[in-house]
Formats: sequence, structure tokens, C-alpha cells
Amino acid sequence: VFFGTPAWAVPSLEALLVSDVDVVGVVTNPDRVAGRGLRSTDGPVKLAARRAGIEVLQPDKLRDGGFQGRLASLAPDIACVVAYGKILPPALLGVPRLGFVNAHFSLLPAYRGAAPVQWALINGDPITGISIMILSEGMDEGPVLAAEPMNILPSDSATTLGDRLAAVAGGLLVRTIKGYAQGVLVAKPQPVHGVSYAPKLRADDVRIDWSQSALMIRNLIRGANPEPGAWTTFRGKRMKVLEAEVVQERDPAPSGHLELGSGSLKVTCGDGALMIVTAQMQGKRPLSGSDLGRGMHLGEGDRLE
Amino acid sequence: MASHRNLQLSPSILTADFGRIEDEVRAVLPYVDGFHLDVMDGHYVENLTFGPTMVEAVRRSCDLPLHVHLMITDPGRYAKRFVEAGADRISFHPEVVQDVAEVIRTIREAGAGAGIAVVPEGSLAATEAHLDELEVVLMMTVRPGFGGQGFLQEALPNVVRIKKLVQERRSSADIEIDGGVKLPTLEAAVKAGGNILVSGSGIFDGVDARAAARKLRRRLSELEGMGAA
Repeated sequence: VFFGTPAWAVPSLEALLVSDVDVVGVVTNPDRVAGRGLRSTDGPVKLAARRAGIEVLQPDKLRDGGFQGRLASLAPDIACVVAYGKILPPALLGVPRLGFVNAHFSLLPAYRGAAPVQWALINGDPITGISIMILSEGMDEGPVLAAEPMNILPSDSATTLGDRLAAVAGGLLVRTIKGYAQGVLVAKPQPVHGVSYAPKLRADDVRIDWSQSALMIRNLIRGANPEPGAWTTFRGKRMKVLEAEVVQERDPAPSGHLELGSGSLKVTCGDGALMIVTAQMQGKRPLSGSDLGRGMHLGEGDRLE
Repeated sequence: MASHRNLQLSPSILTADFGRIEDEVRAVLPYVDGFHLDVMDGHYVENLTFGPTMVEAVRRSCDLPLHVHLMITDPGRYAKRFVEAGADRISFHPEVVQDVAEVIRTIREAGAGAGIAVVPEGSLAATEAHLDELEVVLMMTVRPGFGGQGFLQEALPNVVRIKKLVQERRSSADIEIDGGVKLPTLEAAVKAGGNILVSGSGIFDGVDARAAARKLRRRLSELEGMGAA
């Protein structure tokens, strides 16, 4: 049985489907209501499961006995979890014969929690990876069966890095559960040292402080792209900065100072400056920095705060 | 990696809300590297704080390193209980014990790293004599006893001396700065040689601990980037 919800879970499901592992069911979060017509939209994992003709379960609550009975009736040998988006109650963990394994997008014990890809970028790390662990009751504290490192590129955002990690997770997951089922792979407890935490990003975590260095602000922007999006304010309105590049600063201006050059919008930071590549004013569409800058009709003293 | 930061931030929970300590701890997790717990007995200092139960509560909330600072008159007698409660490091004040080597041995045998705490302008003799057995030297930049005090600049020359000693002896001991560490005092503490910065009321300020921890973390990252570490 496979548990997963967003696009990052799809490569893992597909890797399992093309392998000789028999996928007997897919569990995914209930459909989200989206768009102006408030239509409900099927999640990426649900669509992939449907294409493969596999039964999809979308329980609202995992704790009710009904779901546990339903899962037990599938008699799974093992359950795989990739970005499912709900905490699994301890009572469920014993249902599959070999338990639950989880592909976590960091090199554990670093970055336990819901946003490991985002925090690795925000902290400017050069390396991250995938860990396959056996789920235990604590949050991402289970013993690790396998791990694979991956370089973080300077051009990466959470989108691109997450996509690459998701692609690697699929193959690693299939190899790992086979090795585990055959008794070849043994789970090792996570090291005591090197623990760190990566909880879901809150709005305050991703507000830009323009007195910081351009490099640190850029790390925040790429870590928060696309969701929730690093933000600042312009004339009292929220503005999300989706992409930015570090540029040289010749004449230092006060932090947050805006300058519209030929085809670019530049912001002064505490150390250096950023060129805004893409940004989005509250309630508007994302625009290129230069288009946004032209629409701003910048005056004396206009700045980002 | 986040877990191998050169400059580490360690909130002291002294001014946190003990009634909801697990929430207080979880709120700051992405920005900190460990926690500092000040145990006071009403004898060594004129203040009482908490015992091993509080260490257990913090341990339940995270797996980050916990450093217990015993401001008590008989550290050797209680060290083991704090280790059992989840302490990874225990520091004590050498001036209140008869046999410093014995207390260090007790802490290490209980399974924790040992540290010596040095009060502002205090003697460095015990630290010099036992440096090889220490995981950490805890340099206080306020007088022990209460949270919320101002940073004492006069404590810094001793930090510089300890940093030099640690380098000369090729010791791997951390130098932890404890007392009055806030945004304006962070740089002086780092430049003097501190690599673990304890902040109490600078983080658990009764307003927004996560925001305060974020600001200190960002400043430390900048100092690290400037090669101050």
C-alpha cells in the first residue's frame, strides 16, 4: 500500500508500479477544493493511481477504526509513505507485516519535520539527500534503511531540488523495500548527534529582512519558492519575491532601496544587492522584476520593508 | 549542514513559560542547536529553579543536545540524575567542590560530557588543570543567579584567554558564553572566542520566542559568513 499526496510522491508511486512490487492500494489526502468555481481537484497521486487502475482510499480521519479495518483487509506486506501530509496514528503502524517505510527528503537525523527541502535551502547547505526509514511513533525518528546524498545547486529552488529528490526517491524506495523484505538490509538507529528540525514554514519565517546579506535573502527566497513564498511589503502591500539573483552593488544605498535599471529591478540589501527576477504583488499575477518595476512608478523614498 | 554550524545558538529556558515548556521548545527548534538549563539550589545562588523533571520535559520535546548548568553546592551528588533525565552535558562551578577531578569523572561515568563554569573575572586555574577532560568551558558573562541581567564586558578577557588555551592545547572543547547575550552583544561574544551562545531573555522574551531566535540565528549566520568564527 502506498501513502502519498503531492507531485513529489508521484515518481515513487510510479517506480513501485513499474517494479515487480504489487501495489494493492493507494491512500491519499481528500481532494482539495480549488479555483473560482470551488471545484474539487484530484491530487497528483490520485490521478497517477487512477491511471494505473489501482484502488484509491481518501480517509478524512486515520484514527477511526473503519480505515484501520479497510487497510487490514488489503493484507499489505508493507506500506510506503512519501509526503502523505498526515501524521499516522501508532495503531496503524502495526497493520502491514513489515511496517511502514518512509522516504524523507533529507539526510537524517538532519531536518526532521515537514519542510526538509525548504530549510536546507534557507540555511544555504551544499548537500542534502533522501533517507528511507522505518516509521516509528516519534517524528522522523525511526531507524534508517538507506540514504542517498544529493548536491544542492546554487540555482536550485525548493521546486527544482524537490523534483530531483523525488525522482531519486522512487528508485531508492523500490531497491530498499526489496532489500528489507529479503532481510538483506538492516535498519540502523539514527545517530544521536546531528539532529536538526525542519518544521512547516510559517509566514514570519519567510518575511524578508533587507538588512541581511543578499546571499542569505536569496537563500530564503529559493527555499520558500513556490510555497509559502518569501515576502516583503511595498507601500504597505504584501509582495512575494519568487526569484532573485545576487548582483554587485557599486554605490551602497539604504537596505530595501529600489532601483529600476534598464530591464531590471534592483534592491539594496545589508551586504550586496538582489535583482528581482519574478515577484507578485498581493492579489496580482507574478511579473518579471522589470515589468513590476515599471508599474510601480517609483518615487523618492520608495522602498521594500 | 544545519547540524554542523560553527556558531551555535542555545536558548536558556530560565525565562520560558514552564507551564507550556514543550510548546516553548518546539517553537524555536528550526533556529537553535541545543538548549541550556540552569539549575539553582538556593544555596550556591540565592534563587531556585527546577530539577531533573524539567530536563525530562525538554528531552521529550526534542533530541537536540541539552546542557545542564548546575549552580548548586553539591554537583557531584546530583549529576547522574540529570544525565538520566536526558542531559548530554553537565557544567558545574569548581569553587564549590572539594575534588574537581572527581566531579568530572562522576559526570563522564554517568555518560555525559563535563564542563567547568567560570564566573566573570573568576579563576581559570581549574579549567587549565582539567581542560583535557572537558567537552565545554562555560564562560559566564553575568553573575550567576538570575535571568535578564546585562552582559558584562569585563568577563571577555577571560574568554580570550580560554580561547587561546583551547587552541594551544588543541582541545576540542566548546567555549559557551552565558549571560546577557542579545543581538547587540552577540558580536563581542563571538569575537572574544565563544562558539556556543546562550541566550535566555534574548529569546524567551514573553513576546515571540521564535522571532527572537530567528533574528539571533540570522545574525550568527552573518558573523559566520564574515569569518568571525
